[in-house]
Order: sequence, then C-alpha cells, then structure tokens
Amino acid sequence: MNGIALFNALTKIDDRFIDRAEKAPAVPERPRRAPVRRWLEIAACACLLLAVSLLIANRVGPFGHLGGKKKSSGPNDSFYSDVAAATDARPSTQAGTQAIGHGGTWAAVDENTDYSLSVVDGRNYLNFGGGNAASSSIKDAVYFETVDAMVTAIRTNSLSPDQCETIRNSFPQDENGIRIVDLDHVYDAVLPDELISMGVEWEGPSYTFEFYDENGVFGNLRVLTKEDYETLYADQYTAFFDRAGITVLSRGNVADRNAEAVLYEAHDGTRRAIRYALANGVTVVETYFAPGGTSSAIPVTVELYGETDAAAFYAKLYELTERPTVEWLSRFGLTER
Amino acid sequence: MSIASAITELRTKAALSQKELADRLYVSRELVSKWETGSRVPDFLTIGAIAGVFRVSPDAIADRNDLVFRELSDCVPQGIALPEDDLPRILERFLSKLSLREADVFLNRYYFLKNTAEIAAKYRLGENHVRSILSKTRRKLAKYLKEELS
Repeated sequence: MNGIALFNALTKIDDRFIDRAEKAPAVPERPRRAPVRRWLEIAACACLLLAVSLLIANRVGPFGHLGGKKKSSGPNDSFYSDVAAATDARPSTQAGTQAIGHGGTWAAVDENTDYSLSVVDGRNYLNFGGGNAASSSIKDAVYFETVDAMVTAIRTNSLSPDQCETIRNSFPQDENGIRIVDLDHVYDAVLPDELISMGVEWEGPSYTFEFYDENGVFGNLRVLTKEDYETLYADQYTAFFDRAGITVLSRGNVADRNAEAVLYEAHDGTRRAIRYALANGVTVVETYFAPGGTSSAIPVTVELYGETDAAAFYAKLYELTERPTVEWLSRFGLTER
Repeated sequence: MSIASAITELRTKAALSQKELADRLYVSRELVSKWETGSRVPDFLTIGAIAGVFRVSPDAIADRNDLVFRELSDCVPQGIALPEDDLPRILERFLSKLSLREADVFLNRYYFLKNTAEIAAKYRLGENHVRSILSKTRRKLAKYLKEELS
C-alpha cells in the first residue's frame, strides 16, 4: 500500500522537520508600533481628554448635567464634529484615487497592518501604511470560513499580522498597489447540495471555494473578474484543443452531450478530452485517461468555465467516482451576496 | 488509540521495562521512550516487530486501513513506483517547498497521526481550514511526486 510506504518514508526524514512540527506554534507577535505612532496616540488621547473637559466646562452633550458653563448649542455642535474628526483620522490615500472607508479605531493603527482601500480605473486596491514590499517569495492565500467573513475582515481592518504578511508576499501588485476583490460585488459559490464547503481562500483580486463530498470527490471553484478570467482562462476554453504543449492525435465529435472530442499526447501520457456547453452557457471540459487505460469511463478531472454579467468562475473537480450528469454540473454557479 | 499509547499499554501489560523492550527490538531505550511520548513514530516494519514481541496484530498498534493512510495513498499517482531509499529525501525537498505552516500541519496529520480537531486546536485554526490545507498539500505532493518520479 503506497500510503504505508509514504508513512515509512516520513519516519526517516530529517529530525529538524519533525522537531518543528512537534512544537506548539509560537503565537504571532504583533509588530511593535513605531514611536511616532505612539506619540500620535498619546496626543490623540490628550485631545480627547481636553475635549471632554471642555464639554463638562460648557455643560453640553452627555456631560451637560455636570458642572460648568451652559452652552446654548446642541449635540450637533462643531465640537462634536471636531472630536469625531480627531478620533476618526486615517492615513491618507493615494492622490487621484477614490478612497473607500473602512472601520477600525485609532488605537489599532499600525503601519504593518493598517491599510487604505481605493479604486483606480475600476480596479480595487489595498495599500499598507508601511509599504507593500514583499519579504518572501512563498505564495499563499488568506483563509476565511465564508465570503462574508472575508469582506468583514477587510472592511473592518481586522486582518491579522500574519494575514497582512501573506497579502504582501502573495497577492498581485501593480503601480497602484495590491490588487484585491471588489468588496461591493462579492459572490458565493452555488454548489450541488452534497458538496461540503471547506471555506474560502482569498488570493487578491480572486478567491477560491474549496469543497468535498463524503465519497472523496473534491474540487474548487475560483471566482474572478471578467478581465482576469479572459486573461487566465479564455485560451483554455475557447482554444482548448489548439493549445500549446499537446500533440493532437485525432479529433471528432461524440453524440453524447453533443461534444467535441480530441485525443492528444501530453507530457505525461495520452489523454482524451471532450468539451461541450450546458444550457446555462457554462463550458465543460472532461478529461480522461486514454481509452484502454486504467479509467476511460470516469473523467480524471472535470472543469467548468462560467460567466455572469459582472464576474466569472472556473471550477475543477477531482477524484470523481462516476461521470457527473449534465443536471448535476448545471448546479454550479455564482450568486451575488 | 494513538501509536504511543498502544505501545505503552502493551508494554505495561506485558510487565516489560522500556529497556527490556528496547533490547528485544535492538533499539535504544531513549527511542522507545520517544515512541511512548509521541515525539517519534516507528515505521511499519518496526510496528510489525513491536507487535511480534507482544504477539498481537500490527493493526492493534496502527490500523493500516486508517483514513490517514488512505489519504496518503491518494498522494501517489497511478502507475508510479515509489523508490524506498530515495523517498525520505524526496519528501524533505517537498516539505522545504511548503510554507512552514503547511509543512507542520502535514506532518502533524501524517507523521504524528493527529486528527483534524487536534491540529486545529494546536494551530488555532478552524477544522475546515485544516482540512483545506491538508487537501491542498496532498494535491501538491501528488503533483510533486509525479514530476519527480515519472
């Protein structure tokens, strides 16, 4: 059994891997705040205390019942606005961009984890106060249980130092900053009932739902902008049978599902792929081992390419135990939150 | 029951000291101690030898049909023969390519044979998150083995 062979090999790997895995992970330390920030915080607290003292002295607002001079103006007095402005102050966004507000308090401001959100030319960006420079080439994604949890964390500035580090290191960047999802238009994956979602992996301008079922089928569905979809996947579904890296052995059609078929030689062996469209416009590509191989009746993978008016998705299913029906495949899609 | 507690239970029932068990297996007492504390895990050949000392089935110490081993089997692409001697080094190279957290979560599952709830508690992650990390890492391993061995 190959599982036993792998396990036996794991018992022989270098101790440093085992020792590290055995230890409880260190609790991520929140980076120290810069001294300047601390002074600003102290100054903000002092301003707040001064404002409260003045309110008491003028007997207005929530402190009106205390001593001091009664002021004629009400709670909408400019004094309140000034206090609000002082406690709400956020780092400035880049010039020429449309700023999107996000929550958080002054006390939580940290140049490593504090960021501003903006939209430039229809693209959404995140920029850290301390800069966006990556410190590692290791790519990862930021995990959330749900799309709502992802949006809330981004909007309320609740991303952890580890998550911020991942964003710097892994998310695509351009001259305007780190590209992220459009927080006003996010989508949930629509999946067949028996598939169980394992959560969402945020990758910048896209995010991926991971799922599985009790029979061992697993897969993922990536949601991305139509612009990115065209760049990344259009070639795969429109010119799938003419793409580079494969040698086409034969072409044809299969009556079943009115599909185009191709037999091709890839770097790892002969494959048969069929492509067809579902009634809802989703393109399906089923890939099989070559006829006569270990499995020529059940696809090795099934890929789905779909679009809505404002977004697109790409899904891939693995470890199927039977060929999925058209009805079952038609249940995959997106729904806007 | 974990491999560590199975060995401890069988040894104490047989009234053997760690040193006596170590002598019968031609290993050090320290290694037996590590098996019993769970800081090291014996391979299946050794598990067979331990089972032989206590005259029980190896499955009484580690069930070969356990989900963990089936999950590991899924990482080996069809038609690929695993080179027994080189495999530990290949796995080390694979683990080095992962993020620290991915590697640690993977080893907690497939070396220390912990369940997802235990791993989730250790790393302060949700269980779904742990499953997601393991699923992705298994796929990465399958791809890596295919590239390395075909």
